[in-house]
Amino acid sequence: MSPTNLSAAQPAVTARTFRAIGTTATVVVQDQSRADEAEHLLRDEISAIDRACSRFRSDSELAYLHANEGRAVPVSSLLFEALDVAYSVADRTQGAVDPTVGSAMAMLGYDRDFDLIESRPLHLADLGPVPGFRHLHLDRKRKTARIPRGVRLDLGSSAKALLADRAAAHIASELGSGALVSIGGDVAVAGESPTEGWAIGIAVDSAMGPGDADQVVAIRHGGLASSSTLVRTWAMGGEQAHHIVDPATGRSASTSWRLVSAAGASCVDANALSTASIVWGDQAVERLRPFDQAVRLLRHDGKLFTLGGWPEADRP
Amino acid sequence: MNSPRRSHSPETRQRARSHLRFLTRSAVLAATGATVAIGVVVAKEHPGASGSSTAPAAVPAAPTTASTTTTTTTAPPTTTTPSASPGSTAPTTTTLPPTTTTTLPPTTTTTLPVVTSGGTSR
Repeated sequence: MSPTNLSAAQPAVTARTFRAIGTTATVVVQDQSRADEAEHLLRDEISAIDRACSRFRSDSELAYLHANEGRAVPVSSLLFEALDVAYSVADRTQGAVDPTVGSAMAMLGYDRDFDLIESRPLHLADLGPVPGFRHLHLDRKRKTARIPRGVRLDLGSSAKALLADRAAAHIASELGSGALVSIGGDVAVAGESPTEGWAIGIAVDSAMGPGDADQVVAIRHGGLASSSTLVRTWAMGGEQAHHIVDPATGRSASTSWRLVSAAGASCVDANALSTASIVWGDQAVERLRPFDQAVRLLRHDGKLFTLGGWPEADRP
Repeated sequence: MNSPRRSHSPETRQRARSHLRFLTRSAVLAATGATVAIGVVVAKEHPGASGSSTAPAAVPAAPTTASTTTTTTTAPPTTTTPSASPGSTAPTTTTLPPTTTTTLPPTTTTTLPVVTSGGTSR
């Protein structure tokens, strides 16, 4: 894909965008001559995390873990890290973002790449609370993972953010300059940032162009992630389903929020709160207060809530 | 049955007296030390408090506990208003700890964005 010169937007930054793992991946670097290298590095990172964590690939490590349910399975460092991150995120959010939603996702129809989802009858009686992340057993010393029989994992939420963090750090380190990586709108930055920071548009749909953003903010470190239930939706047995499952019910979360965006010391930290807020619904603002992170919540009726120093002013 | 009475020489009695004096002094010193130690602890735990209504605590007040966030955070770049809770949901009693790594919040910018963060439609 040819480089997109964003000199009109930010001096001396070059972006590459391509389709990957059912979404859009973007890498932005400050040195145009290193854009090819940055793209290759990002593609490598994506391939590695897909081989480790995909629940849609029969040859993934996660599929092997599922096939060996009930046993301690040696896993790669990458899958172990992804499982460890998923567990930590679930712990921090008191189970709101739980990796044991795999079976619930499948029952809701999200058992294949998003582009291939078809509407099927939905058996509501089969839906219920998910097993819970504490059923995931990780042995750090032996680098093994074990799930009880019947438990299926979905690492989509945290693994995508982890991918952004890992890729941004790797690219910045290899290139010796600043880099931004976005995986479907979950953004991580690393290395030296542009003078005004990395400008990021906030919009309900990450596919919207820069001019359609509700607000533009800049970050210099860490990550920024957004979650919405208005996109990545599908019809399932006459019901509208989406990809954020409430672990308490096993169904798509019913939420007050059109869009939640959060900043954090990493994209993982940011994604944890943006996703958890969707699940927390009306309680999100109160439950977010103990966290020292900036969050923007846009309610369905258009009312805007900001926490942790998120700048309030939207575009006029 | 009576135990046989033992006779003690003057030297033995002298050694016993010396030993007793030593034990007495040790006990007094230990009690004094414990009292001082307790005083120090109390003074630290309750700076400014005193067992006497007239004499202030002899030990300087311990510094107040430093906030874990003040060293790593700065004021938001733009004004923020504490947001009200949406709806009528009662506040929760969550005791979640804050993140261990503090980061600065985003800032507003007039620069055109390089990417958009939002829901993942494709």
